[in-house]
Parts: sequence; structure tokens; C-alpha cells
Amino acid sequence: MRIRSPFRVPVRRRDEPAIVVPPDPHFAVAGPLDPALVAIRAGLVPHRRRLWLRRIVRRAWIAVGAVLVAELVLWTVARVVAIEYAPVIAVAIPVIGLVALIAAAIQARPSIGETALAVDAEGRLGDRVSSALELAVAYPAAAGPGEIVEAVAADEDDVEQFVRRQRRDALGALSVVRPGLFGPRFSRNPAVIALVAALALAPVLLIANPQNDVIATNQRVREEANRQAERIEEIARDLEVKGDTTDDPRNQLAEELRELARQLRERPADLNENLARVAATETRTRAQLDPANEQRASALTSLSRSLSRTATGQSEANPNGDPEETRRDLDELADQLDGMTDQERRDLARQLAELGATASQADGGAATALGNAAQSLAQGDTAGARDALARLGDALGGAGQRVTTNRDLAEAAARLQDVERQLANAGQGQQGQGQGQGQGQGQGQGQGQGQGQGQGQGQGQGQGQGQGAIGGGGSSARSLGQGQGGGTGQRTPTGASRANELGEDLSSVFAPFERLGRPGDPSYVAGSGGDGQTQQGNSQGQGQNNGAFVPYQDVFTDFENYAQTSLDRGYIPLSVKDYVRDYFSSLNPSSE
Amino acid sequence: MDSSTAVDPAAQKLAPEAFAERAQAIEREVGRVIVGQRDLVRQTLTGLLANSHVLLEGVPGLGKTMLVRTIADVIDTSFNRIQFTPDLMPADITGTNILIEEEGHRIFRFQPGPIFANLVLADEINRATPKTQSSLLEAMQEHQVTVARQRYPLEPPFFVLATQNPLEMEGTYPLPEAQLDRFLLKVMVPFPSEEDLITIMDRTTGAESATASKVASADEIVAMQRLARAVPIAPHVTAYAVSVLSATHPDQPRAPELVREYVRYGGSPRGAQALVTAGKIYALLDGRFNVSIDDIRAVAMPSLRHRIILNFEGEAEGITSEAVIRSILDTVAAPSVE
Repeated sequence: MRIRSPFRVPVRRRDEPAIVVPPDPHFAVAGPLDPALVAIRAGLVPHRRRLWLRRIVRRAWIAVGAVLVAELVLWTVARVVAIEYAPVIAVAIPVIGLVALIAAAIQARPSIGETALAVDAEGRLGDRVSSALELAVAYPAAAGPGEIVEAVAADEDDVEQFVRRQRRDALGALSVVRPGLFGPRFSRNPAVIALVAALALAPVLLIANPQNDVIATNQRVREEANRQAERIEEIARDLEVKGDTTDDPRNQLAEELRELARQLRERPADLNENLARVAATETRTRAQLDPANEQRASALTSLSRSLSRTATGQSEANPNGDPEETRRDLDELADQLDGMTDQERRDLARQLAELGATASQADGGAATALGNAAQSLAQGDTAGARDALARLGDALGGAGQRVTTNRDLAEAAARLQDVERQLANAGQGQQGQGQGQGQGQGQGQGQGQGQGQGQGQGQGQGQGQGQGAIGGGGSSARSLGQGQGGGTGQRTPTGASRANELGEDLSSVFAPFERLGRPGDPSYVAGSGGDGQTQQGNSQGQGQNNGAFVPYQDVFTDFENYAQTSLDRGYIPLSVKDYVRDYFSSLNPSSE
Repeated sequence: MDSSTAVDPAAQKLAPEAFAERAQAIEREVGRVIVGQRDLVRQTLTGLLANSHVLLEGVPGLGKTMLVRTIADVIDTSFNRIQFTPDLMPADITGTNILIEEEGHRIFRFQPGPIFANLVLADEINRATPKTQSSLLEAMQEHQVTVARQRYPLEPPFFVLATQNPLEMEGTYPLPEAQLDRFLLKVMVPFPSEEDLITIMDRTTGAESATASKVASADEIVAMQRLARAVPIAPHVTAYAVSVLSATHPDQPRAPELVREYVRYGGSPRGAQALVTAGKIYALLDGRFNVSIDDIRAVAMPSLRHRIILNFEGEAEGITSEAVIRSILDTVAAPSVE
């Protein structure tokens, strides 16, 4: 007769039969129980508690072993694969283990039947106690109180007598079982596993994890991406403030930058894609730039200053070369034309004609208007001269506007490049990022007039006065140094916020910014006066022996070779290698 | 001669506590003659108290016949010995109708054979032909003999104790499986130890021979048989016995590798019955009122060894049934909880 246990059946191997756990007669049999049966149940209760404790201890060993093995696996894998949340998982594992242990402990509470089986097995009671429980359920009529008769026959009643005798026998056997039958045991296998795992875990934890740098880099990449997204937004805001109309390229660029910032925020961890996006935007922006903008700006400033001085007759007029001021001066001059003598008109025409070369460098329309004005004055056509001077003023204003727009775009491109560099630096785990000092002091002190053509090397320590204008850092590109004598202009460096040092890994790859500056920066290095004409004002000449001149080809080759060697010998990610190669390719003077 | 009426039910009343006492008395008396061989005596007595039959196997001279004779002496019952020979006929065992003249008439009257006794020793049973061996089938299984369409019940207790010699296989007829299955136990008679041999020398070569006195009657044996059957068994113990039996079958998933490889047929359900029945006797002999797993394991060897049929590979490899059963007992673990 198979009794279906009201309690769970312990899980065994698939090919093993399920254990028939004796049911608890207290629940399986209706009515009062035989006092002997009640005594058996009561006698099993303390054993049940101890058996439960033993099971909990065993499960605790298993839990400890499992937790340590899981930690070992986690930290071993974390040494191969960068697991950013490894510390969180490491903390979660013991917590999960504890929860599992609690659940297992609750689930492991033995039933009375299981306790009976265990007592029989370890107390060597010959299945007396478990049989007593099972037989009480199998013969319910014998489960209640009753008497034992002397003789037993083979009929059903006497089987019940047998059951009662067996129960008394079981109770007697149970009463002599020592109370500490189920002491907690040392679970050897789980303990050995736990010990081995702990021993293996110690060096894994103590030896520095190479993946920590990767994780830190990834975090920096994300943080930097968000930070640079803010910077891009800032660039966009600056451009929108400066942009006049909707078709202004600055407004269009601002819109593009906002989209770029959004993409950076959406996928901050994708360094390569973000770099590619920023680089693409920067490239498109640079494609819009006029490469001769600064030369044109310089000429425009010079022209404006000269025109103002010619128009007003004051040698200190319009020292900054403001085209708007020049236009006002020209308007006043036009009003005075009728009151001039012929000689004065001719002198004026000659002075204007002398500015033709500068005007042609500054703006074609201005040069034409200037020529017309000079011609009209020489011919005594004051009306035509007035008209030409008005057109000259307008042309100067338009040229100034274009120069400003170009500079804004160039500045935006430079800032984008800086963004790109910051992103790349974050990806390389560089340290020491911060506010660097701007490069390119831009305070030309040169006294030389004339245009000193030089290959800029950053600091722009040419001696030309200030017309070095945008001290935009010594560009790695070929830069033109144009020193205009008499200038006093000092310009704020545009290369602020530049890292002043590189991390260890890239310091051997990138040249210091102080020397090369940012690639592509609209740099203008004021040439020194050298032996050029030193007369203020009217003289123009080519600078010679410019002190700021450094043979760019030599420097470029040296740096490129050094960077190439470092790339080949050091561990540098492939993407960054390409980045460095592209960098030098863009600087290569032979490709221009 | 109906067995149900041969013994007064009122006289069968026996306290379970007295069972072990009586059985131990029988063992003690047998031990006066049979030196050592405690397991042999106990297993033989188990077969008797289980109301079944036992097959003894051992080389000549180990006291098989002496054991049966001694048991017959200890129990106040009738005893017959049948020496099986190749020319032994079934009628020589069961008896036959003979023509007699009575009151002027010639009538056939059944002349009972030697099977009609409480204890029957079938000595060297494998020397008779299968036909003759099979004549024991009905008697052993149904405790009756049918001759000329007339059934003759055998008086309880009816206990056949057959012996066979593993040597001298020439001219023998191994018992068919159906015949073997009728035996509750197959007991191997081991060679006695040197100490036992010295005692045997002292007892058998002296002037006085050891004798056993009667300590139990046939009625008491029948009462003990009935009492033994009344022993209740817990379901988990029955399940274990069934598991052991199932493991003797090579197609069962829990069969050990040795069984799968070398066993052709496993035990029949009679094997499980033998485990439980013999286990009950063992429990009572041990002073318990319940069958334990240890009882089942203790009787597994004599209960199953003759029910397992090895295949050709097993025979060729020299695998024994005992080795198979040991592997089964090792594989089928006793039910236990953590």
C-alpha cells in the first residue's frame, strides 16, 4: 500500500525512485490519536529541530561555496572583459546568496515523516519510527486509542494489534535515542569548494585589474561626451547670437551643432562615431571658410585705417581700422569735396590711388570703388567721387561683415576641433585635462612693416605690432605672418581652454600645443619687421630674416617621424592611430 | 485432508513476542547438531516459517541432509526423504492408485507418495528428469497433489527442502526456471570454518552423537506461519523491495551496469514476495514488529540469486548472481533523507 504523503517528496536523481515520506498521522488521520502515537510525534519534535539546523548549516556551507565561486567567476571574467557594474554585482551576489539561503532554510524544514526516516537511519532503529507513522495511516482503525491483547491471530483485528505492538516498540526505541542525534555536520565538499574559491579569489582581487583602466576610460568617454555636448550647445548659442539672418551660415551651423549635441547625448559611449560626427561637422565648417580671410581682414583694417586718416587728415584717426568708422569718414569727406580746391582733390585722388593695392587685397568691390573715386577726383567730378566714396564705404562694411562671419565660423571650427580632441583624449585615458593656457599670444611687437611671410610656429612672437590679429595659436598649417608697422592691436587669444599638457600615452604622439597649436586654426603670425621697410604708413615691403620663421617642413618631418615611431612601438588603439595619421596627413605641406 | 480444517484456529493464537522465542528455541536445538552455519539454519527456518520451500546448494558432506533431518527432529512433524535419481518417476513422488481387493471388490486406492509429509527432503533434486522435477510444482505451489483427476491436499505445514550438488554436473538436469521460482530461498551451504570443523569432529567421531529434542509442534509452526504473514509492512519498505526487484531487470532505468550487461532476465514478482515474506520472518526473529530495510537487504541474496538468469556474456565472464545482487544492493540505496 503506497501512502501519498501530504508533504513534499524529497527530490532524488531521475533514475532513483521517489522516497515515500511517512505522513504525519496528526494531519492524515481523523480523530484522536493513540497516546503512543502522540508520544512518538512529540519525541520527534526535538529531533526535527536539530535536523532542520543541520540542514541549514549544510545549506549555509553550500551558499558560502556558491557565493565564493560566483565571486571568483565574476572577478575572473572582469579581468578579461570590462564589466563596469562588477562591484555592484559583487555586492549583489552575497545578498542573493543570503536570500537564497533563507529561502532554502525555510524550504528545508523537515516534516515529521522525514524526521522519522532520519531518526531510523541514524539511530539504527530498524525503520521502527517511520513504520509506526506509516502504519498508523495505513490502518486508521489502529491509529486511535486501544488496548493490546496477548495473542494475535491472522485476521484483520489482529493485524491492528500488530500495529499497536509495533507502535509501542517504536516508542520504546525512540525513547532511547540520544537527543543530540542530529548535530550540525561539517559539509566537506561545499567547504572545500569554498576554501579553494576563497584562495583563488584572493590573488584575483589583490592583483590590479587591467580592466579598471578600460572602465575608467569608458566612464570618462561618456562624461566627456556629455560635457562636450554642452560645449557644442554653447558654440551653437554663440553662433545664433552672432547670426543676423536665417540664411546666415552661422545660424545654419548652429542648427547643425544642436543636432550634433543631441547625438552625443544619446550615445555618449560610442567614441568613434562621436569623433567621426564631430570631425565631419568640423570639416564641413572648414570647407566654408575663406583661407585668405585673415589676409583680407588685415588688408581691410589697413585700408580702413588709411582711408580714415586720408579722409580726416589726422594721423591717429581710426587706429583700429574700423570699416564703419571709415565709412562715416568717407561720408564726411564726400560732403567736403565741393569745398576743396583742385589741388586738394588731386592730392586726395593720388592718396586714394596709392591705397589701391591694399584695397584690392581687402575687397574687389572696395578696390573698384576706390579706383573710381580717385579717378573722379582727378577729373574733378565731385558728384562721381561722392558716389564712388559712398560705394566704397558700403563695400568696406560688407567686407567687414564677411570677415567677421568667417572668423566666427573659423572659431566655431576650432572649438569643434577642440571638442574632438577632448573626446579623443578621454578615450585615451588621459589625465591632467583642464583649462590650459591659450596659445598664441598674438601680441605682436614687431615694428616691421611689410608683410613678413613666415611659417607660423605658434607663439607668434613676431615683432610686428599687433596686426597679428587673431593670435590663434601657432598653427600647424602654413601660416602667414603679416606684420604691419604701426599697428598696436592686441588680440585675445582664441586658443583658450586648451590643454597645456598631454597624458603620458599621447605625450609622445602629439606635439605640444604650445609649439604646433591646433591644426587648422586660423592663425596669423605677425611677422617681424626684420629688414623690411620700417617707415610708418606708406611703405610696404617684404619682410626678410623674419625671426619667427621656422622651416616648417623640417619640423613637420621630425614630428611626423617621431609620432610614427611611437605609433609603431607603443600600444595605441587602432582608431587613435588613424586619428594621428590623419592628423599628420592634414598637416603635410607636400599635400597642399 | 483440508488444511484449513486440520488446525484449530483457536489453537493458532500466538503472541508475537513468543514468535522469536519459539524460533530461537528451534535454532538452538538445531544448533546442537549442526555446528555453525547460523545463516544457513536461519534461512532454512525462514523458508519453513514463511510456509514456502528452500533450495540448498552445496558440495557433498556439508550437512545439508543432516540439517533437514535435524529440523524434522526438532519439530514434531512427519518427514520423508526422496533421493532423486534419473530413473525416478513422478508417481514415485506423488503416489499412485493401486488396485486392491476389499470386501470382495477390487478397487483403486490412492497410495500417497513420499511427498505426503510435513517436511520433505528432495535430495539431489537435479539428478531427476525435468518431468519428475515438475511433479513437485503443484505440491510446492498449491500444497496439493492431483492424481487421476483427484486432488489430495497436503497437510500443513508442508515444507520442501531440496538439495543440489554444484559438482558432478554430468548426468544432471538443472532445475527449470519455473521450478526454481517456486523456492522461496536458495541457500548456499558454505564450507565450515576450522573451528566449526573441530567441533564437528568432536561431535561426530565420539562415542555419543548429538541429538536434538522436539521443541515445536506442527500446529505451532502453522501458527507461526500465520503470525508471520500478519506482520504489517510500511509502504516505504515495500517500495524498497520493489525497487530492488526492479533493478534485477536489465531494461529498467535504475538497473546497475552489471545487470544491464550480464543479466538476461530478472526476478519475477515472486522475488519481491520472497523479499517481503522473508523480511517479515527476519523482523520477527529479531524481535521487531515491522519489516525494515535491513531485513530486505539481508534476505535479498537467498531470495533473488536463483531468480536472476545471466546471459551468455555473463556466463562466459564468470559473473555470478551474487555479484549482480551485490551491485544491485549497492545501487539501490536505502531511502533516506538529508
